[in-house]
Amino acid sequence: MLKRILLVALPVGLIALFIAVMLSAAVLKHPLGSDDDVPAWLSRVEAQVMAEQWHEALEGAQKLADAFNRVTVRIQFSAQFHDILDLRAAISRAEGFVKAQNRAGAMAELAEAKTLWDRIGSRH
Amino acid sequence: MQIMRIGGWMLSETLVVMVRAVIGFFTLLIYTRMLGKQQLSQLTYFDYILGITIGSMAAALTTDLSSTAWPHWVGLTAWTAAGLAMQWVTLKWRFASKYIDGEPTVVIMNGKIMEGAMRKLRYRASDLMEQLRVKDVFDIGEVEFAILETNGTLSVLRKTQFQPVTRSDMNVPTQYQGIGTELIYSGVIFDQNLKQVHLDRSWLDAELRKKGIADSQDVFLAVLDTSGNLYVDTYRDRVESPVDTGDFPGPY
Repeated sequence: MLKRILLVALPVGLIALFIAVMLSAAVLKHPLGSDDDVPAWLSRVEAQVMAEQWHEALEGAQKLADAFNRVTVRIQFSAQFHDILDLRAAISRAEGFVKAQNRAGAMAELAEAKTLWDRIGSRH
Repeated sequence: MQIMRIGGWMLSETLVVMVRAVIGFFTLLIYTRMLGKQQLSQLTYFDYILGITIGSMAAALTTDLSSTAWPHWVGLTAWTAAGLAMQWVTLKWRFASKYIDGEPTVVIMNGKIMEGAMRKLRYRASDLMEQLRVKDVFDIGEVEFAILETNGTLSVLRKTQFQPVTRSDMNVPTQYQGIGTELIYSGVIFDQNLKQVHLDRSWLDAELRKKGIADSQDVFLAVLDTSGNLYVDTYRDRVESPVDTGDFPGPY
């Protein structure tokens, strides 16, 4: 009887585990602390760029990159790989624009980063 | 290979592909078990295409990183579900079974080739001759009936005058012959099978000793046939003049 249950439970359990892994990005992208809170850092850097606080914005962009790196480790198995790379690139470009004290460029890159962040783990 | 290290952790294409491969592999394993135990030779053309499609989706799931694993997995699941539904429908509804899987077609009837039936199937005379040869029929004049099955194989009934003589024709008495029972494989004794043939380990040990084998661990395979003969093959085969079928010295 136990064998029979195992014969059913094992494949069902495996399928359930696979579904969980494949859909985990939507849950795992949420922050576990302040260090990996990507949406919060995105908003903060946006506000700093708008206020032209370039020194703080540069520090914020670096923290944003670090936060996203932390999240990436968790979501890499369920998110689109290219979205991860694109978001990483958008943050790097935003950092460059901040260094150049270019408000329009930095805002455009942060907006793209926001869109890419929203796309990670969404099913549409 | 794209590897980025973050605080000792790794973001890696290789790792992602490996995890996806595990998902694809075991999903395929589970789904193919669900789809049944049909042998490759029993598959209809549609089953064959179904298998290829499901397999290619599993491959895309593993290596196509331009999208997430999920849509590929859903596709894989949907095709398997459709395959299962089709199996269920053909099992329950005879008309659907005939419509989907087709019917066996008689291509030679009473020694005459059915050209009309062959044309409908786009089945050529050369195909017929080839499949007859596979069945060891080199003279089409020997064939009474030939039926093209739904899986593409040809079933052949020879004319009675060309059928081989059997022991029954000659009134020669025969002995019952059933399926042999495996008693040892890779040195492991199957007690369950021994019990099934109402024998025990002491009998087996005695039989092995008679054949000069001291330990069952030395046996690769031991099979008992229905006449009571024990076939034993040991790991150390003492072949005095081995036959080499190769035509190249190697190494390869």
